Order: sequence, then C-alpha cells, then structure tokens
Amino acid sequence: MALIELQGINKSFGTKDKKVSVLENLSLKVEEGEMVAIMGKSGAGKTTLLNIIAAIDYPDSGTYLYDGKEVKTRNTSQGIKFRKDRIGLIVQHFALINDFKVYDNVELGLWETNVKGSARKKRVMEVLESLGIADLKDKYPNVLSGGEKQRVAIGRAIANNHKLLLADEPTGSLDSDTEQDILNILKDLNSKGMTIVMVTHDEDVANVCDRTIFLDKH
Amino acid sequence: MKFYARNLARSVFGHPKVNLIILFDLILTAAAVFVLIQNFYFLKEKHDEFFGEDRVAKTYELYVGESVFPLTESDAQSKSNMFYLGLELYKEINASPIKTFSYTHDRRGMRGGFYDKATDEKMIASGHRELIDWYYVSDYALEAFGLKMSEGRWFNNEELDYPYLQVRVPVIFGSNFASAFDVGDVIIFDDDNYYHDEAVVVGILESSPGIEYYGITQSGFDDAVIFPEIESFPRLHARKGKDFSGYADLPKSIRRRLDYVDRERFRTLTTGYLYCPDESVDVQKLINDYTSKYGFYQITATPIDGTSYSETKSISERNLLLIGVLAVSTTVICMISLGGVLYNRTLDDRRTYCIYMSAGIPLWKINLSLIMEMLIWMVISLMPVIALSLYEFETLLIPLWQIALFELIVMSVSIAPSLRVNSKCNLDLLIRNQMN
Repeated sequence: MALIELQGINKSFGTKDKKVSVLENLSLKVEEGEMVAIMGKSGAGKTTLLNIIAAIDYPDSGTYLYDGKEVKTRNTSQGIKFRKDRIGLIVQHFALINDFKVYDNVELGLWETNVKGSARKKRVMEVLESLGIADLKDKYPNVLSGGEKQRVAIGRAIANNHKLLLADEPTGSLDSDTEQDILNILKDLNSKGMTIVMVTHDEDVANVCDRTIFLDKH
Repeated sequence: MKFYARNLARSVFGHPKVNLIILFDLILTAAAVFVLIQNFYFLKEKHDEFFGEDRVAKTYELYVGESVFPLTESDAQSKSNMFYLGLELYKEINASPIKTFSYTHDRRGMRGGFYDKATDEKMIASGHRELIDWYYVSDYALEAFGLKMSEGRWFNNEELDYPYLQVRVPVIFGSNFASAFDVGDVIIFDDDNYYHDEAVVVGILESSPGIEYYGITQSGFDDAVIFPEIESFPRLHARKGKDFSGYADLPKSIRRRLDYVDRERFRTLTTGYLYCPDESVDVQKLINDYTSKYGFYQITATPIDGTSYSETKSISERNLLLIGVLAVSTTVICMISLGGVLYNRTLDDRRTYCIYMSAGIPLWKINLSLIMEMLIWMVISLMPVIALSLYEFETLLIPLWQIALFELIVMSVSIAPSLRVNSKCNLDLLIRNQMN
C-alpha cells in the first residue's frame, strides 16, 4: 500500500481576481520505503507539494491519503498533531535553535512523545552516534559547520522514528563533499525502511533517489 | 515539562537586554501603582475622615458676625434701604435650591398653654399632663424637619405669610394628640402676651424622630403643638368682623405685625436655618455667590445633620479621581510599552516557535510558556516594591493582591499582541527560509 497517495490535487495562490495556479490535478503515489526526489523549475510548486504532504498547507481540492487514511487537516493545530507521530522534516537552512545545544536540538523531536527519562536519553545518543555527531552534543549550533548542522537537523527529524522524512533542499547549503555525506546518511536511513521525499534542484541528488518526479511550471 | 523548563530558560536568558526592559517596565508599573494606590489610600482615609463618615447635610444653621454684617436689627426696625436689600437677598436665596427657614421651640406646662376646659380635658384624655413642645415655624419647616401629615394639611402660604389675617390661628398637632383632636377642632389657647385666642386644628402629624442638631436628636414632634412663626397673636377682637381688602386697609397695629413677618424673614438670614434637599449643592458657595453681589460674605452655613458638600470636598474628590486616573494612565503607558517590547521579542522568536511546531509542539504550549514567563517576571518585579514597603514602613501598606491585580491586567493586555502574532506562525516561511 502506498504511504502517500495524492489524487487530483489542485492548489492556487492569490486573490479571486488574480489567482496563480501552482498545482493542477496532481496525482502521485509514494510507496513505503521509497526514496523520491521532486524536481522542477522555481515556482513549479515543489515546496508547495511538500507542504501539502507535511500538512503545513492544504489543497484547494483533491484527496490526500497517508497510509491509506485521508488527511483532512485544515489548520495549524491539526497539522502539528498530524506531523507529530508521522513525519520528520528537514529544511535547507537547518532550522536549529541556536540557544540549544546539539543534544537539546535533537531531543526536541522527542519532547512531545512518550519516550521519557533514560529511554529518551538513550535514543538521542543513538541518533547522535548514528549520525557521527555524538562528540558535538554539548556544542551550540553556531559553532558547527553546515554539514554538522544538517546532521543535527536530520537527527531531530528522525529521533521519533517517523515513517516518512520530508526534506526541502537538504543539501542546498552544503559543499559537494558534505552533500555526499548527507546523501549517504539519507540513503542509509532509507535502506533501514524510512520513506524519504525530498525537493531538490540538483540532479546528482535526485540520482541517489529511487525515483524522480518532475513538476512543470504552469 | 521538559519543553516548559527549556523554553523558559531559553526565553529568560536568551534575550537579556529585552528582558531587562520588560523587568524594568514591570517594576516601574508595580512601583507606580504601589505609590499611587498608597497615596489613594492615604487621601481616601483623610477624605473619609472629613467627609466620608457622615451623611451630606440637608439642614444648616446660619450665622453672621454682627460687627461686619451690614443688615442689623435697626435696619429691620427702621425699614432702611439695607432692610429691603436684605429682603431681596432672602427672595433670591429662596428662589434657588436652598431655602431659609426659622423656628422657635420651647416646652411648656400643659395648663400654661390651653385655657378652655374642653381643650384641657382633651389633653388629659390624650395622656398629656406634663410638658408640651411648642413650635413656631416659618416656610419650609415641613420639608426641613422631614415631617409628614397623617391627617389634614400643613400651613398654606397665606397662613405662613399672614397669620394675623386669619380668622383663627391655624395649629397642627403632633401624633400623640391624634386620639384627642380632629382636624377642624377649635381650641382656645394662651400666648405669652395675649390670652384666650382661638385656633383651628388644620392637620395632625405622623410620628417623626425629631430634629437632628449636630448629631443629636432633639425636640421631637410627637408631643408638639405647631403654629406659624409670629411674634405674638393679636387679640381676636382686633380683627373680628372686619373685612380687609389690602395692606392699606389694615389697622396700623396689624400692619406693624405684617412688617414683622418680613423682619422674621430677614432674620432667617442672620440667625435662622437653611434647608437644601439637593446634596450635590455646595451650600456655602451658593450663599457666597448671592451675598457677594451685595458686597459681603459673612453669612456662614454650618451643617447640623451631616457634613457639607463643600468645595474642599469636591477638590478632595477630584484629587482622588486624579490619582485614580494617574494610576490607570500609568498602567496604560506601561501596557503599551511592555506590549511593544514583548511584541518585538516575539517576532524575533517566531522562527524558534516554528521549529517547535515542526517538531510537534502545539501552539497552546508555546503560548502558555510565554504566559508563565511573564508571570515569573511579574513576581520578580514585585520584589523591589515589597522590599521597599517593608523597609520603609515595616509592613505592606496596601494589599499585595491589588498591585498583583494591576500587573496581571497590564500583563494580560500586553501579551495579547504577542499571542496573536504567534497564532500566525507560518511553517511555510520557515521551510522557504523567508523567516527573519
């Protein structure tokens, strides 16, 4: 069964008189365990699509099924609730909290879960070690390199063992060596069963994925 | 709990400068409100001490310094220009919300007053064997003494103005005589100077508590016999059988007595009383306004059944109001200032809040954390005020809850824009890196 299934999704922005259609009658399926890249020109609706999958934004029409169940979120609170146990999110510019140490930034992903006390600590350390940043746990993000920051962001996104990881240009701010490191990490996570959907401009990044979906600009 | 602890620590230590301004703002609010409320209490205590405990008076005693008052008894006797001026003043004052009146009272032995046997027997039948309250009253006494009629009526204007022209002198009895006399009964009574004069009962009073005089109830009316205020009653034969059509037709002796009515009115200004049912009128100020037109100010109105609504009281009330307004203004200014600072801080924090939300932390927890932080600042800001009060006065002069309540109001209003901006946190902007 497809983990994500979109049927006839339409999304436009602007006022009634001046509407810009971003997604038109879009349908796609992402199977569980797949690693899918979404490509397209600027303004083609890549991030909008990602937002709809993450329930950050909502389609004007069409159906969104997650794990076979229709997603009907229509506000921020519903979106947060939906994402909490299902989706990890990575963005291009890392979105780390600079006032928190690396450890806390990763642990943040577990604050709203039932993983408490020593189990939480153990899980955070597992994630940090799996990403090779355990020695950075007491450092603040502003002293980390781009690659290290993105590892911390991935750590926070995967700490809760979500089925789905969404990534918007996860290597967009990184040099090519670091980019490869991050892709290896993502590939490794995918090989362990995590479904990954990432938005990218980079064909090399897309080539790592099982499949690439191209979006045309309307 | 982890979220609250970490986020509070981040928020408190993450914006040292802004938080110092917030703290300073709250301390200023607490201090200002403390000082203002404290002064409000001090002022209110003094205000209540002078004005608050008693009722506002309706009855005043008038007094004038003889040496400086230009209206004298000789003016009245000689009917000088000043006499007519005084009468004008009387008319003007009595056309205003305040009314001057006068009365005389004494207690007489029953047999010293009523001559005829029938009246005497009725008096005994009503249980009166000892002293009776004799009153001579002028206009407005009914209202001023708060009297009510149970039967008949009060004196009409003609009876009050020209008691000498009445065929029989009108008399009103107190409630204790109700069983013995009826309206319309004619009695014969003795006056100090004249004897065997006839009076007709025009009304009987309801029971009343009596006249309050500087806080003490005196001179009840239940055992009262009340006549219009006149110097003395002429013999009945002086006017019996005569038909008077005007002042000029009156015998000289009667005319003299009519003049006496004017003299009595004149005297109410100098040694009489004043009745003012409208408690909001500054009686002394109103009298001064009238007398100043004639170039003198010496009529003093002293409240006898309460306190006066004076300019001092009015100023005192205005001061109270001013302090209240200052407290509210300070609160509003602090609200605006604190709200602005907090709003900008929240704008800076929105990226962090979006990250929280992307990690599944609900908005209400983020908002609750903000409220908790403000409560912490509030408690801290109260410390200097409490310390200062304890140091200065060794006690909290005003209840802590009152300052805390003010601060809570300030905080609640100040935080509202921040909560509003939080509700508009947009994860899409975070993803697109368009935040901050």
